[in-house]
Amino acid sequence: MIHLRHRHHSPLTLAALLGMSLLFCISAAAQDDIRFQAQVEQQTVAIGEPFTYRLVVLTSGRSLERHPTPPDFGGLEVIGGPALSSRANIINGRATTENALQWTLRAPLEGNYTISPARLQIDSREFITQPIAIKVVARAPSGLPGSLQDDPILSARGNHPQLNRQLEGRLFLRPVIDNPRPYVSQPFTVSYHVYVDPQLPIQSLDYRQQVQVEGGLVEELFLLSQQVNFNQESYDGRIFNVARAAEYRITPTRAGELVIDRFAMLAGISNGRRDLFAMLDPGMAVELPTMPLRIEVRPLPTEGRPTGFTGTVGRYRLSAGADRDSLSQHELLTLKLTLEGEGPIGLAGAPPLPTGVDFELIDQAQETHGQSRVFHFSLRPLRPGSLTIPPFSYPVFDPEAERYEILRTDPIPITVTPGERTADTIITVTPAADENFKKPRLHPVRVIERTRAGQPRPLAHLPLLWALHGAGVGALLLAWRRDHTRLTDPAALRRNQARRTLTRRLRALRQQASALQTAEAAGALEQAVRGFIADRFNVAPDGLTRPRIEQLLADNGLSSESTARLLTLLDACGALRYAPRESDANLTGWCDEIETLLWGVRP
Amino acid sequence: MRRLILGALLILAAGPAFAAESEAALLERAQLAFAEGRYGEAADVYGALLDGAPADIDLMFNQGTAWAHQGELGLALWRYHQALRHDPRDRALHHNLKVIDPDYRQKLALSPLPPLDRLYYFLTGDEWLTLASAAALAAMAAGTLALLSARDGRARARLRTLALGCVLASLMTLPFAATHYVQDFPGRRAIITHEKAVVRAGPSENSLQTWSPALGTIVRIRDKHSSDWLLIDIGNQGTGYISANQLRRL
Repeated sequence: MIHLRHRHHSPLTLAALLGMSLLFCISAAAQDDIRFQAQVEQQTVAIGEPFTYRLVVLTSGRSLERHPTPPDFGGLEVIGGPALSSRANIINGRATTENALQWTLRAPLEGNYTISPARLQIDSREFITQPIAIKVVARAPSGLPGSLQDDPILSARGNHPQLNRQLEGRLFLRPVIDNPRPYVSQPFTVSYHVYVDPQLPIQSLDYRQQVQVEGGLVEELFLLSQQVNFNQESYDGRIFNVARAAEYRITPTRAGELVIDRFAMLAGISNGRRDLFAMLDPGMAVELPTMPLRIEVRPLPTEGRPTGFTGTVGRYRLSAGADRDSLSQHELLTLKLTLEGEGPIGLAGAPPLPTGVDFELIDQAQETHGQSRVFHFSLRPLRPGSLTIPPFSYPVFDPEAERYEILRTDPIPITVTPGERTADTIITVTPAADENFKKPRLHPVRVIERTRAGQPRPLAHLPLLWALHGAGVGALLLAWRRDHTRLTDPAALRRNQARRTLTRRLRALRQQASALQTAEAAGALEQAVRGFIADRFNVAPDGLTRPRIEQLLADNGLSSESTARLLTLLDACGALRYAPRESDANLTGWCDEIETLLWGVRP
Repeated sequence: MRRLILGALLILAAGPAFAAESEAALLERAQLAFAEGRYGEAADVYGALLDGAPADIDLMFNQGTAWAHQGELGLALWRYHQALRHDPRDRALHHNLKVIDPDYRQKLALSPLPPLDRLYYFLTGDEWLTLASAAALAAMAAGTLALLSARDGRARARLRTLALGCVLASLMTLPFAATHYVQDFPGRRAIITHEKAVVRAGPSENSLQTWSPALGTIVRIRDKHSSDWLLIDIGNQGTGYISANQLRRL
């Protein structure tokens, strides 16, 4: 048995429940109210004319988690976008959100295009737009003079529709083709002329897009420089400033339709506003487009085509010349074949060597200089005698006369003498015939008793050599370090200078002995000895007591007798300093004795 | 068992004697073949002997001479140039080279100054290195003694002068030794042995001919493109490809 319990709700709770159920109902309704559509501003456009394509998603207030999948534009060129925009509206209390994606497109060629459906996925539901057909027509701008109506001219385009309307028929590029039906390999020129209404304040002209050609070679003949020279021309009573903007020579490489892709320029037009200093005028950028040009390229006629024709088209002359008229059998001759005239001469192939020629072809090369192409043939004569290089035949197609022609050269006589004996000929002569030539001149083989086996090792690979160098460098570094220390250590410097100082002092004492008082001389001698000991052992001379001197001398190799004698002499010097006795003093002898005694002190 | 060991020892001791006899027989056979005008056979036998003694200058000379008489001038030049590297002052070698290829000195030239080339080729790389090393070691010894001697002594000044002279001598000889080392590195240089050799722009018989080097021209190998084609230097004209059978590595 089930027991139901009834509960009494407060009015506030009831209101909250009512509100929630209302929101639920609204959101459920909103889920169903999603609109997804594709829009174009116009379905018939001119070639190259930009137009916009929009994908719009309308929802009842909910935001989009995923953007729509863009469609396939089917040959139309995307020149801008996608630009995303979002807008919210509340109408009669109902909120809607519009999310839009926008592209700017244009059609490269005349014809019909289809933009495929775009898709949008929301919560497992998929929305699909309808495909959109676009018709592209070749439409001349309005306001063109009547004599230019049939030319492939497009309107100038800026950022503002009003400006575009003002420029209609006043600023444009006009392509001119000198030969609309060329043959394969027959060059033709296409030039682009910029037309400007004299009232239009043009500031600058620049290139936006150069031509591209499929199925042809493009050669740039002229491009507008910074300095533009306009000529005034009149068309049906209207005056235009006209300047040549670019010119190209195009050589078709295959028969059939040849499409010259768009050429475009950018023009800067003054907007009439100047700043305080009347210097800066940013102007407005305007594109001057042209429509793609379609040329019908005719194939070369098969009728009357001579054998050996290599596809050379144009009006040419052919001449031949050899670098010499006589040569030896073992020398090479260079034959120069020159093709000159009008046409795509860089594409001309080399003619084959005439049959029955008494020369062997060693090598060949070709080079192009302006409107002449030179073929070089390196030939070796096959036999001595009076030989002739027969005439060369070179078939070409003359597109002006629309027929094939065969160019011929004159025969060239060449005298070939038998070859002199050279290193080459040594090989060809038989050993018997060459006996007298070679044998006396070559040293004969050596008599070998025993071969010297083994491969000698290069000296550079001998470790001992580099070890010796390393040892030398090491010794040098050690010696340098020792020398450096000797130079920079004050104690060492003092020690090394000790003997020299003593010698110098004693020499001075001997020289001045007669002039000095006995006390002075004895003092100087004692000073010299104490100074030597102080320098030699790097101690202060003032602190040298008798026992200290005795210890230092005894520790450094001086015998006890010598030490005792030296100390006796020092005592005598001291005594003389304070009690001079002229008769007993033999200071010069003491100098000699002291120098001898100190010689035994180890450094 | 003792007899077996004794027999084995006897065979081992007699081995070198057999080898020496075989070598002597081959040498005699080659001499005989040359004397009888069978130059090709003589060259082959000398070649077989060179396999065991690859640096024997006399064998190289003899094989080159046999090839020259046979008419194989490219191969003769190859062997002569190999021998020249080991003994650059061999007069007979220079004579034979000049007979076969009067321009061989120009082809060997590394410097635009002929005396410098003569000096360079007067000694082998090892000899130049010995000179440079001896000078360097003498410089180091003299320098060491100078540094050890008294600072203001006369001996120090003399030793210092001697060391500087040795350093100068070492610096003058070292470039020759280094150039020899680089040039003589096995497989780096090659000699054109084909009388109609052609250098092409690409590694193919269909490529355009860019140079026709003369027989005996010495070229530097830059890279091995394949087993058939080598990339070589062609002087100021850059590089080119040559068929591997048209040259021999020095």
